Amino acid sequence: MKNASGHHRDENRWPLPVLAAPRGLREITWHVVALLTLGAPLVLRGGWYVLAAASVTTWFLKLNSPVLRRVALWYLAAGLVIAAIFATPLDFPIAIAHDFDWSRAPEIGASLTFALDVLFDLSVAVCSVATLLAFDRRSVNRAAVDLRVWQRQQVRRRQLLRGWHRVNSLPEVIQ
Amino acid sequence: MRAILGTMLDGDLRALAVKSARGPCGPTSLIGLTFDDLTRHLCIIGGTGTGKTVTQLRLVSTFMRLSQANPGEPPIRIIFVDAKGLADENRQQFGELARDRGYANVRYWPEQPIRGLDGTLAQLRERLSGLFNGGESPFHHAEAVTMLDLALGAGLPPRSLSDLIERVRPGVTAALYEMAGTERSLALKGEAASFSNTQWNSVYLRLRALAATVGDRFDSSNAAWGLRDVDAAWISVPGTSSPQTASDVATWILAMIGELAASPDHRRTIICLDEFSAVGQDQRASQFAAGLVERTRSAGIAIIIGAQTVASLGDAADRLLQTSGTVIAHAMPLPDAIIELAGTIQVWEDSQSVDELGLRVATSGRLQQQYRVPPDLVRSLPVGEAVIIQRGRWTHIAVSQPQSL
Repeated sequence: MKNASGHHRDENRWPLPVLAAPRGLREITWHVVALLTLGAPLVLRGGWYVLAAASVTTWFLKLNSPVLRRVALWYLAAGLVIAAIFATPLDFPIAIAHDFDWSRAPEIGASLTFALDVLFDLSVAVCSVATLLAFDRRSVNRAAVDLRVWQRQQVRRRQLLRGWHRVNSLPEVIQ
Repeated sequence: MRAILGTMLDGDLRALAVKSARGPCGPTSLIGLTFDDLTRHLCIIGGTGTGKTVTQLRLVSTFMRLSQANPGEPPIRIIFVDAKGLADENRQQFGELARDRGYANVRYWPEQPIRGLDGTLAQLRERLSGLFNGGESPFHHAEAVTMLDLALGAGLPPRSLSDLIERVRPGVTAALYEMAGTERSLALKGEAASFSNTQWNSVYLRLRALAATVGDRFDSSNAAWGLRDVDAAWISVPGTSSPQTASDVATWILAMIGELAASPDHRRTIICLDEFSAVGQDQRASQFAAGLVERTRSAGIAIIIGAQTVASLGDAADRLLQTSGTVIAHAMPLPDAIIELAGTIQVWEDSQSVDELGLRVATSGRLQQQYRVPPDLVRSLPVGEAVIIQRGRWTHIAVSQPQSL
């Protein structure tokens, strides 16, 4: 809703998100990690699809971060087990390395490569979603923070003025 | 010129602020009052020991200094009525302040008698009729006032309370009118004789009981003084030791103060009614004070009332609070009635909920009215600090001590 004095809150609209640059080492680190986490599955072959699937599954099943981390570990374990059964356990890291440059390991069969790639992609995507879910998404109520800062400043100002009042004898009459 | 009360710590009452030298947070504002501010009257409310009397003494001190700075004008007359009657230290400080600021004619009651029976018959009747207005029915009040009127008019005006008491003995007033022998006095004699001995005795006993406690403190003698003549006066009403008498005395003195408004000298006057709680419960004193506050501004009389709570201002508490141009609140546990005077401000309050994923969602909001003065600030004010409210604005100040203390 807009009127002569500018935009006004409308109950039928969502509030606009407050976009602010990250402040402090903790917030900057979190943002870097979030970007890396989001980027990691995208460099993998088929990572987009797997990440989308993991996100949709998480949304529908209301999964939380610890559960997702356990699921990611299960995917890795399953990859190791499948590699051990159909080839050797060392073939799993080889398949992973080829997954990053989108090439195929010549010594591993096509179907096994596909299965190992999918399991690794799923593990990375689920880890990414878990990390993003753990991100501190609490929004700051700027008005409340500003009010608290203002009140703290007022308290300090009063303390200083009281001290000044104690040591300074005021005139009784001023022109 | 402004009389400086203290340092402004917070608030938006810029009308009283005077910029001072650089302080710890930039230029510091002091709070200064003019005599015009005071003539709109002032109420000082606060719990016991929070600094009310010191605030009043600071006002007394600064306005005495203001008078000193204007030697061409007569000094501002200051009458301090201490309704508790215990504050010897304050009385001594008041005397020191008056001496230090060059006030010559300073009087003290009850040590020095006041001329309580001076004035016209109408004024005398008005003062004394207040004594018969404490719970009597309108009929009995009118009856007592008529008898007083007859007694006051018989012969010369009484010079002392004992004179008047003698006149209201059964038969005395009628005898005085008979002695005068004129046609009019004989008619009044008949009127006086129409009241029974029991009726005269009821008036006699009321005055006799008053005389038993105030003695000759309202009698006209050479040593007695009048409110019009003094530069400064301290009147100590025995509100703690004799509350019943205190109400009578306060009513009498308030009536005399009211007469100052009709004084032709139009001298600027400040009346401090400290510890008003001690007499405020008496309907007569409360109503008298409210009447003074409502009517004396144009006569250049400023009234400062000090009380412990709003309720202790008595029946006329609302009238007193709403007609006072300035209210000073010291610490008190229930400040709502006071802070309402400063009004409210509109504050936007968001209502938010947290969804299942922990996201905070703004669901609604509304404009909320909040008190302009934080109630907890008034509850927790340290001794010597106060909140001043004037015309919907407020300020938090640290009150200075009078300079001779």
